[in-house]
Amino acid sequence: MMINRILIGGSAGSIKDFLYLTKNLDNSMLPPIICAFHQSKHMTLNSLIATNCKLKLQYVDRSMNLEPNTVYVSKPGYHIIMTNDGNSVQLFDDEHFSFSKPSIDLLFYSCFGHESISTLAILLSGANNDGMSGFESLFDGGAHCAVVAPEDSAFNYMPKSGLEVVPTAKLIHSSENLNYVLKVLEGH
Amino acid sequence: MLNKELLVADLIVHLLKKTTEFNFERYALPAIQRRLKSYIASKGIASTEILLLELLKQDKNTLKELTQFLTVTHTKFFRDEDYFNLIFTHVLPELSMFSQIKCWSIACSYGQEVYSIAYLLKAKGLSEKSTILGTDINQVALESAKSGFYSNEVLNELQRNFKAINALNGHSIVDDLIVNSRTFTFSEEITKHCHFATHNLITNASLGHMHLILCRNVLIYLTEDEQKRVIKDLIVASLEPGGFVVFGEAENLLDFAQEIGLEKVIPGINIYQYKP
Repeated sequence: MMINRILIGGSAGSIKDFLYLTKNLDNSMLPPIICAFHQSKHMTLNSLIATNCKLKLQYVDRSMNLEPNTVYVSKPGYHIIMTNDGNSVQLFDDEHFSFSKPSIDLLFYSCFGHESISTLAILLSGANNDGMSGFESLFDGGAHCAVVAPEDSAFNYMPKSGLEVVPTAKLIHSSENLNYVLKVLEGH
Repeated sequence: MLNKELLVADLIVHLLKKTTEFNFERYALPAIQRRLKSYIASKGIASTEILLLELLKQDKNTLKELTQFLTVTHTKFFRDEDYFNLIFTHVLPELSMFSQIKCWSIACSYGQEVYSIAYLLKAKGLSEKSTILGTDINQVALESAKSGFYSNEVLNELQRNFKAINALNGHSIVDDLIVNSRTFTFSEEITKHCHFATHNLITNASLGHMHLILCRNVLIYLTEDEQKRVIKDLIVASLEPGGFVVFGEAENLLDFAQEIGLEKVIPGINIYQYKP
């Protein structure tokens, strides 16, 4: 089982979850990580992430080929989607989708296809429904799905809803980082 | 399990790519799917599968109508206050030195940006020597832009965005708005300087002698090489020395800008001056 990309969606409280996921990473290579976070316009992820993990943070400003050990995020106010069979990422400037921009649903749906099977989709903390239908579609397409454990998340509506649509989604606790999650999945 | 609706949307995108000049492959498929649903509802077509069969007949009018319907036309009046602040306080004063000011809004959609810039020029007292051209490949949007009429539903958003531009404190847009029962438009002092034309930034040539070019949220769909080609062969080729180009909030040119003589006005805002 090979995971070629990790898609992460989150809303309120999700940055804290993301920091847990990327804490104390070992030197093994991580697949590219593409994130749709509902953020305020004036929030920047740079300082948060730079202090906590050794991954490269890349704000997407064009169609970009994916590289390992890199976190791809959009500027607030833009959708972020996968293209080219899940091997590149770009922004998409359109109306809100699932009442959100960036929309987690749009990101997840954009990876639906034969590339689903080599994708890990993760839902973090949040207080709304964005991402649920995309999460379910990815799972139906063969993707690996995980949510932060609702008891560990600041706003558990999003991970709980994720578990409702994909009951077999792996639970990630705050003591577990991405290295651990990938090892567990590879063990299966 | 196969998501049939997404698959049909994908097939329609492929068909349009093969039979028209429109390529929607870099759009988000669920957004296409949503527009397709809206399109078939407006046409009384029972399903997207039936639409697909109709499209296979390659009726030019249907193809044209659908491509116009699918094109992203998302834009707002006075979008991104930081940009309009800088245009008003820095760009327009510099452009006032020119004997005439020619502005070009690329991919202008329904024209909101064109009228927003026209207002700034008027507020700066530069209207009479200014011309603003809005171009797009979407003829339906262009026709609407030419009419200059907008639904009153966006009036609040316009006024909210206008108030967010600190540099316009002390200015009022009320006198330049003509509000009817359902729609509003702009005064003739604004509209007479605004012009619209069809232009495809991928296939059409540069226009030349522009003093201000706005090309916002277009480059995000292009690869780095495609971006460089459009910027060099279309945008820079159209700019007068000393002119300015405005890109979207997420469109950062990094080192490439300097190579072609584009100098950022201030850090953090993607407005560049052409200094060859």
